[in-house]
Amino acid sequence: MSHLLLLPTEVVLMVLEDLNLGDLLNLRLTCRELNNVIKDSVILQYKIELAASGMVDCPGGQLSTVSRLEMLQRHQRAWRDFSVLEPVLIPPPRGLGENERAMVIFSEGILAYLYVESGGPNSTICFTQLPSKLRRVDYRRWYLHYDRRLRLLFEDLSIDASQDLLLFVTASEDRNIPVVHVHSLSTGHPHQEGPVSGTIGIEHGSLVFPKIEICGDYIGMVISSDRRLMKVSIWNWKTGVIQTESAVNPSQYTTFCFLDDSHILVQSLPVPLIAPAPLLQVYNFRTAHGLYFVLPFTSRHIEAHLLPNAVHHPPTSIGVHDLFVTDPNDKLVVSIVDHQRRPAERYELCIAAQKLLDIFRTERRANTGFPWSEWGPDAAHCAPLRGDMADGAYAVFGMKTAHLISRDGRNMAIITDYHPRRVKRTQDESADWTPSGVQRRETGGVSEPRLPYTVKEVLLPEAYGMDIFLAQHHFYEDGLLLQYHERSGDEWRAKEIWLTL
Amino acid sequence: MPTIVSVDDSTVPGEGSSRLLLLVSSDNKHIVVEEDIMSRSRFISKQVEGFEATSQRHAILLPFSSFVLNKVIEYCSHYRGYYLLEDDPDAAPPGRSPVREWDQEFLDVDRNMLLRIIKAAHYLEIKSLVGSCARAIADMIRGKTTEEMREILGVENDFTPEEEHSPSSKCTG
Repeated sequence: MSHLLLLPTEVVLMVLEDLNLGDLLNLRLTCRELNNVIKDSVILQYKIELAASGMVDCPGGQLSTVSRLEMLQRHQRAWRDFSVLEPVLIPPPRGLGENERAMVIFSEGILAYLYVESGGPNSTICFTQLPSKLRRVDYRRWYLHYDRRLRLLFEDLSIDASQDLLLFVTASEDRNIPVVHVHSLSTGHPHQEGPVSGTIGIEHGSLVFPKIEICGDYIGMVISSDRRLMKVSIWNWKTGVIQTESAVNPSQYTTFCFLDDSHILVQSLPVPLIAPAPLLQVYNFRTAHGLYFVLPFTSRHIEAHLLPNAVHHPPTSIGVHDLFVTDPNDKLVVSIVDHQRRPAERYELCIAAQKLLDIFRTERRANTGFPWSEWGPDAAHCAPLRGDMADGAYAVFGMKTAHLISRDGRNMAIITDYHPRRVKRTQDESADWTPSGVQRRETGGVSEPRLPYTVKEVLLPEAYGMDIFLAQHHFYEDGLLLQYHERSGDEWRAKEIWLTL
Repeated sequence: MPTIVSVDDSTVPGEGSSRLLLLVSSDNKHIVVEEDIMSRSRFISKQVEGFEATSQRHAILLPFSSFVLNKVIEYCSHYRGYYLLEDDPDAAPPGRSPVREWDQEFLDVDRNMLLRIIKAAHYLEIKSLVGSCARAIADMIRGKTTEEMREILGVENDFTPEEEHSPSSKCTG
């Protein structure tokens, strides 16, 4: 018997609770008795289940560890089986005229509609909290009203429900510079942690693309003072002070996303003669240090966009008490690249954000490009999208992606999971998910994946009169949010439906 | 078996008004220590409360060697007068003990000594020391293979080869 086991069980558990998943899995194979100690501890079982599912616990709340473990297991089973997709049709918000259009954005389980109330003096934002049986979240709806004279630019609105943060942009009247308003999502008043004035004036140029990305204390936007010179500008929304601006990219089009609270990933599209191929740049906005990653595409690949991934910070502060959430560190970076060719060919490049950061931290080369052959083939998944997937909408959450496609008149979602531990587990336990091919297939310089994944095709509920090619969707902890258009007479009416596990 | 001795209520010159305790180790060594040094131990504190209730002070017998006891006294002397959250019986227990640099150096001892200290700390109900020891033991195991863990913990593999490879011996569901 181990000396360790001569200690009282509660002391042994203190030791074991300090270990991570890999250590616990090794430890339980050392001998029967340690295996039993681990098996009998609910706390350790919960910890193992969290790690194996790629989830993290949100401390606090009333639920015991036993209930949390049980709910987490149910949540993970639901994801693996995908048995029930319960449709919840989101009712249209109050005061939105039948033929009026609202702009819809989604963050962390909160859906926001922006519209001008018909006949009213107000710009209205309607928030809807999507319900979840698996994580005990209720359906909730609330409204904020803003004076129309504020000249709210509806496209320029971002929310981060986990920080109760609402950002919207107005144009200042005198100098026409964009002003970012920092408000509370739940009250509509200036955010308590934001700058005293409640606003941030972007005096360095105009916003190129509407979406402001949010990550923790920082917000980022692409700004430009000249159409061909774009840079990513990072601000601290709590102090209203600019943190940094990335180097100017000679680019037709620049997009970016946050990798974590110190790094952004900037993607620039090629400019003939100057930058012949699309590039990814990991940029540390605290130290202003960056590294270029060369992509396996040429200037003939023109359209490229980076899919931003939700950045979440548990627990949420708007009354929802999350039990557990997807580990914020497990993020997939997805870049979709179109080949300038007829018919168009569409590629997807997926890589774990962690992996990019690991390479960035160990690679000390200066700002010369890091060739694809040295970082890509072993770490990324890069392949042409399958024929029927090439046209569909694409969404990403954590390490999962979802494609909407239509096949033989049926609408489907194709769910792909890239989380290494879940992939392994799914392959062990469920034949239902198809593992990725292990063969390496050469496709015009782009090789088949080393990043393993599993795929599952899910039939979407019928009878929504949905044209999948006009649909958009979002992806969250407990399901898919579909935004589609339904034809009524000559009109197409926008609808939102939440398909929950 | 040591004789039970009464300790008189004398004070130590120059050290304030702390009273003395007589601790007796399993190898029958008598160690005199100031009461407030040991107040971090819930076990000792309860004993002292008992003395006050009965106005009877006597030696406290402890089931571990003087070698281990001296180590624990060294720990308590170092933190004399310090507030450590884990040792506050009225505070909510923190999730994990914080890393204290001094503790890490203090606990840089061999495996058997570490296990003896944690056992003594548990007996004496010194939560901060139990926490630091637990962290030190976890550090020894961390990142090791199953085989290396067996070596460190001195355990024999008692699984049959079939069990070792079957999913039923695993505990995730």
